Amino acid sequence: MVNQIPVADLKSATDPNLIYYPFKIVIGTTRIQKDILNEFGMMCRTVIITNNDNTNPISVITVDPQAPADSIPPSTKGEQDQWTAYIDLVPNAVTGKGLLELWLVPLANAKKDNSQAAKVMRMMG
Amino acid sequence: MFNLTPLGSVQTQAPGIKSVKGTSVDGTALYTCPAGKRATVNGSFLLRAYGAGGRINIAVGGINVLNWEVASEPIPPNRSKNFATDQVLNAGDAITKVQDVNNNATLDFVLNVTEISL
Repeated sequence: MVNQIPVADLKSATDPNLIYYPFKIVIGTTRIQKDILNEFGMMCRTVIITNNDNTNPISVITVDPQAPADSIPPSTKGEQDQWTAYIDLVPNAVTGKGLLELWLVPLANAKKDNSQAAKVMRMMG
Repeated sequence: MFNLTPLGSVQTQAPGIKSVKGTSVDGTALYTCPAGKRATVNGSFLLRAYGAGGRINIAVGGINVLNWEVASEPIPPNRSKNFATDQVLNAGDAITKVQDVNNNATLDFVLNVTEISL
């Protein structure tokens, strides 16, 4: 089961103060599915897909498993800065080749600090 | 929504100088020295993700081009390093590999190729 944390409870995915752990997965010819929150106990703030297949695209779904897939064209790098706890990546079954990078943030670090002090600081700008 | 960047896209900066951008590759023809010319290469690397740690040994090589080690030193993550080399490419030589030999890091790179007509 895919867990999702409401985005409103999270800091901005592009917050420069977020410490992330880069995790690399080699893309071959087989599907890659990750329920990131369950497997790593972390949220993913950035997904980078390098499609080294010169012939065929890579299909990828993030965030919402029911959403339409994005397509990374051949010999192209795709980068997405958006919180996601899920990824479903499908390369070509014959020519698939590339690299998947997930920038992972521990859930505690990804969540907004909703203590009273933090709320006051945010209100004060 | 993914922001897309073509790999190995060749852009002409000035007459005789071409710029090739990409991310760690092995097997893609990034640049081929055309007939009637020679070329020299310099460029820069940016480490995107620093994996297992240790020395980063960057190799550039390809068809008719001996693999040459460009840098062998610890390079912190998310940092760039410039390099120059006296490697000369002849007509038909192709660069097909730019990568960390130890497979510790993903490299974003820009190669600047200067062509000289013979």
